[in-house]
Amino acid sequence: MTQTAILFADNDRDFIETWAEFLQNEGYRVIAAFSPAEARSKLGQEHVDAAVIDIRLVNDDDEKDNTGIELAKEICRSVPVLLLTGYPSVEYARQVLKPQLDGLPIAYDFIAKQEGPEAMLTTIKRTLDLAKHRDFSKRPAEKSIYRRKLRLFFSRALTAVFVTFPRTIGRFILEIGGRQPSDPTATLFGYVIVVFVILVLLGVRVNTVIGWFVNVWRFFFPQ
Amino acid sequence: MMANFLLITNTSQTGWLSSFVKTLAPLGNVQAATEKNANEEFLKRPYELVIIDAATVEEPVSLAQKFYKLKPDVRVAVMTTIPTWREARDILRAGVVDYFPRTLSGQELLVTIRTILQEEINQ
Repeated sequence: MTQTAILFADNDRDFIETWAEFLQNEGYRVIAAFSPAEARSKLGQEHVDAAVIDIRLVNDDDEKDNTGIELAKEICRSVPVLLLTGYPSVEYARQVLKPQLDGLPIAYDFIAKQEGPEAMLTTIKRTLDLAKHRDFSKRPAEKSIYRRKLRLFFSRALTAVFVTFPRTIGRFILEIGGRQPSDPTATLFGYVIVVFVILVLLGVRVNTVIGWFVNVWRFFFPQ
Repeated sequence: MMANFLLITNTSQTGWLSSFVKTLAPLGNVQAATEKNANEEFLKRPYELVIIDAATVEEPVSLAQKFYKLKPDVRVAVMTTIPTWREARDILRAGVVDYFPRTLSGQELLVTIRTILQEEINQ
């Protein structure tokens, strides 16, 4: 039977060696990588069932080092990722487990080095198990993503046509006249302009349209 | 478009509650419910976001899971008084879209919720 291959990426050689030994004893094949570049290269060469990646993959002392997260973002749609850190924080948990723009998180799970080997093993097993139910060639949330994109497209199109466009025109013309209109005023004025243009394009004479507008104005504001 | 929010809280701090509702007013309407009548309120109408107040709700994860069972497309966020990374992990593992402190300022809360709604639209 083929062994389950785990890519283990961490810049600390001693740490990886200890973990590799532990995981090998548990029946896994460990592919070690000591840098993001090495991890990418190994992922290109070998089949990997899951990747365990340290968040600070270049410099443990640099709290801005997010190279592990960057690497996870690149590969997480093709390999199940488990992110590891010696500096667990709420912010890290949010970054890696919050759903991203395609509705899925970067990592299947997040674990602190301090939690020890048993927690690591349980988390790896859980990740592999969860990954079995995910088809990496087709995201499970795809259908709902398309539905949402379609909804977004229509809502943006409607907003652009019925709100943004008349408001921009109204604002533009009123600002030329030296006024600073509020949004509703600009939108209303924009509508007036749009109706005016449509009527002129439909062949109604400009003077007639202006006459109509003046009459409507007088009707609402007799003074 | 105005959103509908459902806030699940057992709080008795009416001042906090009304300030929360007021803060989110530019984004939409907030309907508050207690843990007890959460299901009933949840099923009444579609909500863009359900916010669970983990400071007063005993089992936020199981409550979120209950909502996901009832409506798999629903988005749930959790706020808490003292955020911890372990709780963040447990909650986010359950599929919750965000986990944030209850102590955010009005502006920060607005930004956080707006971001969640924006992410929802982008998906």
